[in-house]
Amino acid sequence: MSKSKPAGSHSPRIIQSVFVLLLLSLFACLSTFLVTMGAQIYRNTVESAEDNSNSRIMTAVVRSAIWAEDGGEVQIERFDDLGITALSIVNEYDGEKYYKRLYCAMDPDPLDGEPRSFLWESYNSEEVEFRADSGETLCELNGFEPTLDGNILNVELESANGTKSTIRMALRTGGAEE
Amino acid sequence: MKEGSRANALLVELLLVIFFFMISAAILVQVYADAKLKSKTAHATNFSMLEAQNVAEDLYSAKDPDVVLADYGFTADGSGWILEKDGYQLKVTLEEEDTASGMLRTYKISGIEGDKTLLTLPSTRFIPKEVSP
Repeated sequence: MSKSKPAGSHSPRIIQSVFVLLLLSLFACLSTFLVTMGAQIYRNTVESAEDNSNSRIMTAVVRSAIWAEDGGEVQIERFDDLGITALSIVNEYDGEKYYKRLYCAMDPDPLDGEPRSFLWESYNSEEVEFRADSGETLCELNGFEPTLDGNILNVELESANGTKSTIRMALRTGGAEE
Repeated sequence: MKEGSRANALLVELLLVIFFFMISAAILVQVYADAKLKSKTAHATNFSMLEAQNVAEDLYSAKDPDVVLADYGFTADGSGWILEKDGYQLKVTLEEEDTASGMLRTYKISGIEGDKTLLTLPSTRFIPKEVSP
């Protein structure tokens, strides 16, 4: 005749199993939380680094371009037919005027061919008609809005990921006109 | 092996795993906090530098620097002018050196985060004395 176990003897095993399951659940929850938090912090850090580098590159490119040619006459040119506002620095060599222009225009991306907005730099003599694609692309840029207030040049910039920056520069030499 | 002692061994193993996991988690959280702090400082340094450059350029060309600083939103305190920005503050101090031929005026624009000075950018201008004919 076989003896059956009393019903109460199962409960410690059940409690132990539940406890083990609870510990496993805790382990899983904490692991998920840690990974999620790490991913979030990593994403924020990368976004912040991207913001920083974009704003530094944009402003450094524009500032160095202007400082390099500050001896010339600084102008704001509007090409309404092309929808471009260009910051132009005019220098005269051997009686001929040369225009260095900084402007924002579209160009197909070299990798995927999708049209993207870039900051361009062109250098032409006054005899050459300005075309948007006559320059070189410097960096990806969504917005470039230069204005002149006396000898203070103000440039509003917007990077590809939407970071906005403002550059203010006191023009040391040359004329400034809009 | 008895069934009860096998279950106990599993429990001890699980507790050990969780213990090591908690130690790793504590270290990781510390690393994350450091990364976040460094990222915040880099962001503040970058944007305070950009803003300080703009202020320096405006001060260089200004006829009345006080008006320029007021337009930016600086408020005067005992030692200079302070501007509170998102995550950092800009402080402008003035040093003047009187020379025989004029005044050498140097504005020092500092980016500050908490108690730490992130950067200092000087903007110097020489103002010649008017010479009577």
